[in-house]
Amino acid sequence: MGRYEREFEKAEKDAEKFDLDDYFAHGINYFKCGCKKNLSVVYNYPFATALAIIGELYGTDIPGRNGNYHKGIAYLSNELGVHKRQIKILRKAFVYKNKYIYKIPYKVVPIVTKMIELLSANESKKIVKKFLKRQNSFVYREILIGKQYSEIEAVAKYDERIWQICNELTMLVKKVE
Amino acid sequence: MAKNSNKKDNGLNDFMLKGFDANHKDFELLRFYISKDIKRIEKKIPQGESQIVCCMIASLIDLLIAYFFKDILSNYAANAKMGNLCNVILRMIAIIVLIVMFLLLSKMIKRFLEYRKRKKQISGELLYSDAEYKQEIIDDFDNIACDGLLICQNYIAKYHKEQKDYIKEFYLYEVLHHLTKSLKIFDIIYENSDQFVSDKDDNLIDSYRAKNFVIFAQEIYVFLEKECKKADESGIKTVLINMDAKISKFKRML
Repeated sequence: MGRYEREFEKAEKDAEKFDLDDYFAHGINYFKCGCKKNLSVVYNYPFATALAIIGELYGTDIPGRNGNYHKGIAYLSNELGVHKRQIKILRKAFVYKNKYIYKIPYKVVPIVTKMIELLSANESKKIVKKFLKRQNSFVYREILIGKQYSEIEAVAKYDERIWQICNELTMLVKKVE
Repeated sequence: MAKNSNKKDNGLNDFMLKGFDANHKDFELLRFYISKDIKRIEKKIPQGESQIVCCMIASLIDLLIAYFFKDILSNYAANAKMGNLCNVILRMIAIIVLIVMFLLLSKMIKRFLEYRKRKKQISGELLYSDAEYKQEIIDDFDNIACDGLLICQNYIAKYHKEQKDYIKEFYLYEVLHHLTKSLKIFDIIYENSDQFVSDKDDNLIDSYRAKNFVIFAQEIYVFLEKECKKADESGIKTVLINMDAKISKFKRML
């Protein structure tokens, strides 16, 4: 297994670890959507891997022994002025009344926009190339939050704020070169 | 003369039918849209049931408050040695306060119930608790998504025959619009295929229909991609990329 594959695997394992912040992710900063009885993949591994890549490329100045995944979250949190919790929440679906559900922060658009900007600026780097090669889609938004985007689109008509978020996400059509 | 006028009527009917190019599917679609509009109007009419629930809860709370404070009010009036007039005024104030509380409470409870329903709609829980909601999505697939593809096909045929550029452009944008709508509906079916797609249940969508939908949509997209190459507008490019992303995703079920 190559160095990058080990990084990707570490990011996936970091995403699966218990995180106390998940229990505080509720209230006015989030909404729930995409309730499902069965979910084949609970974790959004590409999102977690993308965070690790951002951590590797931009998080070298961030102190601490935490891995690239956590450095990526810290970097984005500093850049966007957004709580780390709101970034981490997109990495998985949560158990809710014996089903699964996605928790989406209302600041999902700046988070995803920034991630796309950082990844697309480094497309020539080997780590990003390897990451993109593994993905099923050629649109960054679909790679990072494909499932969540579909669920947001399905319920946008019920709420104005979500409608606005959906419209902004729909405009994010940056493709992999 | 009567025969001539009958011939004229039949001729006029034939012309109108050919001009509108109406068929059974068009009438079925018209029936569906009319019934959808009626349902929408019905929803806007204040729901008697929920109003009654709000008023009942509000009046129950009012009764409880009146019951608990009845003695306090009476004792206060007795201790203050109030005259009859003051007593009556006090009680009238209390009644007015209770009426205002009733109105406010019923509004608050109505808002709370609406908020709870909206939250369930947004979270997607209704899919598992409301059979009518689930049927609505299946009906949308049958009557909007699938017919949308047929409408696209119709416009594509007209596009190839048309000479005038502005009418061709109109047909192209109509195809864009209808395909976008159809794909949006199918996305819900795809993401919840365990709830909507089954070959065993007649009320659900057969898998071969779902697969055929994807193949048909793909063909329409290929046409759009070819014809919209000349289009400069970024809006159209955005729509096409989103369509391509969706169809690529759906192709995984083939």
